[in-house]
Amino acid sequence: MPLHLEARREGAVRVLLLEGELDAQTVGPFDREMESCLARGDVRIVLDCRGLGFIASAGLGVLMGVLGPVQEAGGIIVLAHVQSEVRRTFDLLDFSALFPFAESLTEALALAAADGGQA
Amino acid sequence: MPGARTVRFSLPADLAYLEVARRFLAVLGEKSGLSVSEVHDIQLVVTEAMTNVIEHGYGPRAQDGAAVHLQFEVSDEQLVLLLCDTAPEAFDGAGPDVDLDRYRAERKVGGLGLHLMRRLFDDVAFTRDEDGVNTVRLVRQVRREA
Repeated sequence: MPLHLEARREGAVRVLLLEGELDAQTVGPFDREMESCLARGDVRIVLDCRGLGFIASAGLGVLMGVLGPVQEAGGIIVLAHVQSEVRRTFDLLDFSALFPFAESLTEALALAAADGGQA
Repeated sequence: MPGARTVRFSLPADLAYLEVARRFLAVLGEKSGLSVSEVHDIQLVVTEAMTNVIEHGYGPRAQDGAAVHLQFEVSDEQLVLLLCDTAPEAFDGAGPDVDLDRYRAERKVGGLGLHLMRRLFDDVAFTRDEDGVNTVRLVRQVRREA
């Protein structure tokens, strides 16, 4: 399934809706969007993963690549509505502790908008 | 589907076929009585192994007809996956495990795929024979309810 990516703004937060599967073939648009956010200083980011059914290391590599610079810029990346199999891939790599996971978009937006950014 | 069953299939060495492999493995896994979680793990390791072969084995020099050959074998005791190719560069699986601190400090370094394979399967072996066939063999014990 090709990746469908939809970006929108909710106040100070950039929300990216991800639908489909993230692998080495489909990761390009996600990579470019994240780099673009970083370049603009748009570093309070919520990834709405409700439609994301699969993530391979190519997708995780993009996230890990931008996490440091986003945090250094005082930002945060919050993951919302993460499906169990996708969460399992994060867990397998011990990456779950690096990202806040939110059960709802409301919770994710509140986390992302809060002052101080990511711990 | 009682007893051991072996299924072989080949796909073009092209990242566009990662999804095809996952779809095919989903059907095979379901027909073999594997759990949703087991099917996901198989899809993940095959995606990672195929990506390594295509990006690092064949690379931009991939010839027309370059392929990845997959073998899926499941019995009551174990699951065995083989991925074979004839890429000029063999991936030997050598190297240290992922250093999480390094991932945070550097940008886009590799090695996550191999780490996932090692986490999800009991045995991961890379070989290259004298005919230039590279093989990744992944073995996992299958846990069945009594």
